[in-house]
Amino acid sequence: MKIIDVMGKPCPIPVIEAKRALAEQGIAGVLVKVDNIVSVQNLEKMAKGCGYGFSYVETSKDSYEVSISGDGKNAPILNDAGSGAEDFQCDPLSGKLVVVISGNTMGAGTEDLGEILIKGFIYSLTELAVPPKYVIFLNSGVYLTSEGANTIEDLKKLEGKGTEIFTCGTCVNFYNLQEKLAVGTITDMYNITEKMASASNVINI
Amino acid sequence: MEKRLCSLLENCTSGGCGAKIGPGELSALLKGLPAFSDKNLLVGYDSSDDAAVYKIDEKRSIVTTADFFPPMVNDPKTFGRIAAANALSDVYAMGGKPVAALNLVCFPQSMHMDVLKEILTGGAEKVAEASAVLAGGHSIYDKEPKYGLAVTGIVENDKIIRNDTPEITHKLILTKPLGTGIIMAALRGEVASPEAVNKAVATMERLNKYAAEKMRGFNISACTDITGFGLLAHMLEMASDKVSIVIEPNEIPYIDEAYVYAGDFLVTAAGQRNRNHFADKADLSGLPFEIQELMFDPQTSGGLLICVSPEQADALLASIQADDAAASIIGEIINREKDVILFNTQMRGMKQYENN
Repeated sequence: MKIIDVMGKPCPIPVIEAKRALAEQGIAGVLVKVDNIVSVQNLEKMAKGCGYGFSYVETSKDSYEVSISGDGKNAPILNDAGSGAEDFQCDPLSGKLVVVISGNTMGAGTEDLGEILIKGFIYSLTELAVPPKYVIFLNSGVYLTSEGANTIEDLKKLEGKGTEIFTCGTCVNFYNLQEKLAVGTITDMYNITEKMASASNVINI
Repeated sequence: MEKRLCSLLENCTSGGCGAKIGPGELSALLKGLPAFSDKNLLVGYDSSDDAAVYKIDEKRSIVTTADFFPPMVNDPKTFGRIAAANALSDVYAMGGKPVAALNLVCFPQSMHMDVLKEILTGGAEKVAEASAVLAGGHSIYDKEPKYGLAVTGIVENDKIIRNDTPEITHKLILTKPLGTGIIMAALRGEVASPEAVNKAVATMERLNKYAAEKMRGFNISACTDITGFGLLAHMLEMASDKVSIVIEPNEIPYIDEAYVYAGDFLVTAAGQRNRNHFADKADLSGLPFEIQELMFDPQTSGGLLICVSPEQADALLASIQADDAAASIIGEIINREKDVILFNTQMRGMKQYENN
């Protein structure tokens, strides 16, 4: 276990140093020495957010030892993906959740309600601890990625979290929404099929 | 030059408003002090407002405040501008107009005096922009550099805007984007992009004068400025024990890079202290981690949080946005609920709110 002494260093330097060390090849865990409980808490947020194992002891007054292991209970992921750098990004995408939205409303029933639900659903995707790898829009679902949709902002937020947004090109043409795409990229059925086939989990809406 | 500027940050363990003493420690300590009473002291520290207000005659009051902190940037002139903009802000938040300022300086003997000159030049620029006069100051040697101002302003008695008098149905406008604390923390860790730092510096240097001037003529029930305690703390303070606030999380303006850095856990000690102190006062669990962190993020020279009547909110917002583009309506004052702060998240929140 690599030891990182960041006593006296202000936040977020302990977090940066710990993440840097965990990114190194062959490092399974780090022991971070800090001098205040707030640094311990900020390390904890990072560890938990990345799914690392976390524990700490107060060795003496103003002295804490924080253990962070890359193979924590909810260990993410990507251990088979190769580069240490990718591990380090806490990239939670290897679960490969793919969400396919093939309508501009959610569920069967009143359309107004369906519109509220689909907006709420997309917003909730942004709240997932592990965002989807891909969100794919088909049929009238393509209205949700087109200019004027009230879902654009949340979809952009999803993109910011690393989710890729795809919109079906055939559908865009059918509904005459060419030039209106407001988020993500256009794709074809071959790519859509491939993405769905490679998913570890598909949610169909 | 480069080396000299860098030493500004290297000499400090925490910068900007993030260096503030924690809110819990402070209020406990203040309770132990003797209570002063003077009928002319209209706003004192017992009300946790932005600045003290002392009535001098039937028409006018003095607004008085002081603020200083260690550097959060390497460039001394930029630091001076930010510290001055931050100190002047409290007067604007009370509805006042700054008239005179005094320099407050702590400076290491080992540091070159040219650095201090630059800091003071930056500060003087902002005092001039505020149309106030620099009237003097006080300087001492200290291990870490610190700079700020004591500011005196004037406010008409019927124009004083307190921070804890919001009216039901009024809308809340936040005039500057959040995230300066996170970006400055990333800078300290040498992982911030130059664009992010430029955006944060621009917003921190920005005087709240312009947004404050726009408030005149509008029906404003409360105003404060966002400080090192973070947005959530100021909302709790504004709601006090009288009303609740519904926040639109999607409308909260922030610097884009700050959202990304928060997701990378590049957060400050002061932000975590704010979380420790305020987390049990509002349920943030439905919000993305990044937005939570932004609401706790200590702001240096943060924006005004203005409470305006609902029918005038759009007009005031448009007027503020002409100069401060990031301004946004982020919430509304409602009757007191069990929770002081509620979040209008599209699914649960919207329902919850409509039922109220």
